[in-house]
Amino acid sequence: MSAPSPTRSPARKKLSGPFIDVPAQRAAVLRALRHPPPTEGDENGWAQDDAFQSLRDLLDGTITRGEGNTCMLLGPKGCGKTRIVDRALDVFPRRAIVVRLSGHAQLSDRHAIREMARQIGEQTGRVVDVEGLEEEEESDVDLMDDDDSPDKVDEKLLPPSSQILSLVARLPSLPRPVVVVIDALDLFTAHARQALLYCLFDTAQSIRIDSKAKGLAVIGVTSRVDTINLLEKRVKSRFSHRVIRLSSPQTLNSYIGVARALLSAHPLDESGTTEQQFHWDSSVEEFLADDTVHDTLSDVFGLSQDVGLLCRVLTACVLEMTSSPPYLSSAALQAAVTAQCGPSRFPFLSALPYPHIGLLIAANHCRSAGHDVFTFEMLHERFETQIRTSSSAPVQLGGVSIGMLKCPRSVMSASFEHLIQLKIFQSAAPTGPSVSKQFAKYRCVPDRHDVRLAVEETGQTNLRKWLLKDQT
Amino acid sequence: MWPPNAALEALELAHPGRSSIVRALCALLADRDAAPPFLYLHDAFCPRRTHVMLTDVLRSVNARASVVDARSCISQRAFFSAVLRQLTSGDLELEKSWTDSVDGFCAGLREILGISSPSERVPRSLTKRKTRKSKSRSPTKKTPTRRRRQAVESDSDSDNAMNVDSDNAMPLGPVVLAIDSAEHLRDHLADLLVPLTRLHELARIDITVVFVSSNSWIDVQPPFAAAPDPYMIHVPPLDKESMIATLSLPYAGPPALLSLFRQFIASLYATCSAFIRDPDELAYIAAVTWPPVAARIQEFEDGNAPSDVRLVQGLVPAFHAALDALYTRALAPEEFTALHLAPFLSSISADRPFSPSKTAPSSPSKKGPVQENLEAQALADDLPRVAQFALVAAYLASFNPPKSDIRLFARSTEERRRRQAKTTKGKRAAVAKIPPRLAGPAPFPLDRLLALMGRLMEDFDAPVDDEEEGMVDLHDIAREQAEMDGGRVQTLGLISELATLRLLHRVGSADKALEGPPMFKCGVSYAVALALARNLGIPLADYLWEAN
Repeated sequence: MSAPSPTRSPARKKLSGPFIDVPAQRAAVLRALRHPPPTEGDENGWAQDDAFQSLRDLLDGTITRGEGNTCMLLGPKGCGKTRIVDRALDVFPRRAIVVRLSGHAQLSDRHAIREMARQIGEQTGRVVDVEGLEEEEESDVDLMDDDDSPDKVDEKLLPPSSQILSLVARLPSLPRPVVVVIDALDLFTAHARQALLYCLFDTAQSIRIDSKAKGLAVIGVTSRVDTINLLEKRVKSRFSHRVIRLSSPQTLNSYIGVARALLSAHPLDESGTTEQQFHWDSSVEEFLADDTVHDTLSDVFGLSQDVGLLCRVLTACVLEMTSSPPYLSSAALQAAVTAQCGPSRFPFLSALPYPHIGLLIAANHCRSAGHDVFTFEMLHERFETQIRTSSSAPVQLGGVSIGMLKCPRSVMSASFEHLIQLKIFQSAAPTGPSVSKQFAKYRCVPDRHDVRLAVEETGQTNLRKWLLKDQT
Repeated sequence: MWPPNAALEALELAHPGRSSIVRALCALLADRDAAPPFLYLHDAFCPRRTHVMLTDVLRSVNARASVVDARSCISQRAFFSAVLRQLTSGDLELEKSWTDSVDGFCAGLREILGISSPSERVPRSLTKRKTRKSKSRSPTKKTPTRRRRQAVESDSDSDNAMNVDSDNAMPLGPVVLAIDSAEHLRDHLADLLVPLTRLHELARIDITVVFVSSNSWIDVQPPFAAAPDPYMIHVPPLDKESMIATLSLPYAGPPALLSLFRQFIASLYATCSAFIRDPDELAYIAAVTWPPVAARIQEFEDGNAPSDVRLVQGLVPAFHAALDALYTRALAPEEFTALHLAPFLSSISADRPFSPSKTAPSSPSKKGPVQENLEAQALADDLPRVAQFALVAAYLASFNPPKSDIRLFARSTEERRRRQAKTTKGKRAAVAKIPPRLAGPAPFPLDRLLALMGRLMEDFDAPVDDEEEGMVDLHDIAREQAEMDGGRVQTLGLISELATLRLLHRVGSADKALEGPPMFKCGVSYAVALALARNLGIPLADYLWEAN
């Protein structure tokens, strides 16, 4: 899974050089992590340039020659699909009308058609009339004040579905070519009859170059590999089946190369000297050559090749950088991986107060007894029994009983509610007004191992002995 | 903008123990270009203080922020409106379409922030816009249309227009949308979760969305990995020093009592920290208990006041009582002071040294049940006698298995033995059965309730013959039964009323009312049932299949 790094060095040298402006350098790296620069392809295969070339050629055909094109950008999340589209569109500044739709925002075709009309209106400077949409907005303003239901008002403002075809058919007649970017294309396939996709693909297919119509490009972006299969037959037949595939870094070297490119950013204001920049680059090289860093990045790469995850890990690592010494550290990287890469669902378990831990142990005892589902009364009964048992021995240490600490029932009840609020206890049966609070049924989410670790971390012998009681 | 050192130090002083998180947030949010699109602050113990800390950080980095509470936003429109209003600061009227949908919200955000994407900007030759019908608006406020027209006409074609304030050409701080109690979004605004996590993509602006929640991201995130993972910041609980420093911060009393206050807080922490890790809860107990103590101490002349150590030691029982009374909100602050603090404070006098052991308030562990018994007794006194029988019968019906009725209530000894012999046969269950007193009341049909109730009334409500005391007249019993039959309508009405009072719970939906007898569950606790039984002279323990 992980190839040995060519930059691995047996021993790390001590760096000495000019002072590094840590806040400025940190800000520069954070800026790069926020907007990752385009990465050049290497011999190991992670090349987005091919995808970029294909997309640029497609847009060139639409914008320059007035073609109708459709394509789909397919790749896992975080691999840079949207960035490639933006890069390709930047090649043709202001020469096309760009309409951006998203399956996450436009939950129906009617929302999408209204958003298209709005974006086209913004970019062309004239209002696109979708069956008197503008007039309806103005006239319905008063109704909105009286109606509390936002959905009903929303329906009134939306254009009818029958207007989809008329608007889409007018796209080639606009003064400039139109590029429609559909993010989360797979979600659009769930819309009724896939009407918008059908109209868009049909219009793009029917454009003839010799006509006076301007071009239309429809670019679908998705991470779902079976999106084409989700298209209905009549929609699929109008799609060009041009699929541009993108991928995350395929090899560890590419992955580390991305990390190197991100970390090697320099402050924008040019305040740092070249020597300082050289010094920072050297420190980054040394950091990446460290065996621990290499192994840690290898583990992360083995888990996920998502560049977004790498950015989050590096962000946490960069934030730990201090003025002395002003370098990245492998310990900070390991801590960052722990925090960002699949963080624990309940990292606070060992910090819970005594009644919470007592209830968790009681829940584990219930589970051992075959009762996965429990009530507060069941846990409280076990807790009280354990307190009685532990304080039955007349042993004192320093004048204090070594038994378990007593806790009022009301405090235990409050702790139980807090555990429910923290989702540590989750409801196992529907609760209603006929179920009393103390008899509502719950299930413990953390498993026995998590509870055991938490109890051991608390260092309370009484609780540990109680937990181990049911494991004997 | 990275905050000045003085501001950073003030932030660290205001939030003890949070230095690393404050610095991390400042670094992340110092620059709009560098701020991550999605942050998740997870604080399981006191998310409110984390929210306050975030607000302070946003203020110090000069962020253009909108801070909303997900609990208060019950609809999308309310949420969008709250966010946009905070961002406009009142100098721009909101268009109605901005609060209709996610698209409108994104358009509103871009409009308010004066941002348009470089690729979507209108060329100068195309700036002719169709003017909209405008309503009469305040002349002091900029209308969105006017603002949009100004933005278009200003020809601000520099790529970093979104990072520069047009008025004073200063770099702008980050644009932040902070959502407190974000876990409630799943309940009220589930459709908004994904768009909010992808807001920078949808709105095409550099905006940072920050969720503050007591739940982990796994419990909040939408299904099918529709939302991108956030940059996680886990906020750990405060350690001892930080907690004491946090609790000592709001002290505004006389300087002479500062030393005592610190010892007071340390003692409070030592007593309650095992049970409470939430600084707000400890602060609440301190806010209730400290003012009476300080007022009492100030009554003493100089030199006559009791020593701090003994005073603080004497307060430990009050802290224990506060756990039971204040932490659970069982008592109001005034009641708590009168019940637990006033006797102790009045025992402090200059000439008579107090003894903590003698003047200690009542033990908190005993207070709860005592109060519960009092409430049960009050309920028993308020209810009519037949209703008391009905509730005791309901308790027995809920917590006894139906098969035990004959054995417990049968008059014939032979029948009892036969039933007992039958009940002993049977397979042993692999898993121990949960006693009803732990599993909760079981539902029972109305007929069973009436039968048990009749039997109890027969045994414990029959009139006693005056001439032969202790002997029940059979004629009276028959008469009683006849009367009861005659009063069955009232009895049913009473049971209905008890269900209305939630002392009985009706089980099952109203649609299935015709499918069988009405089913009920007992709604009173053991303490209440015991008090009622004592009132009626019923030995409740003898009629329970499993003793409590």
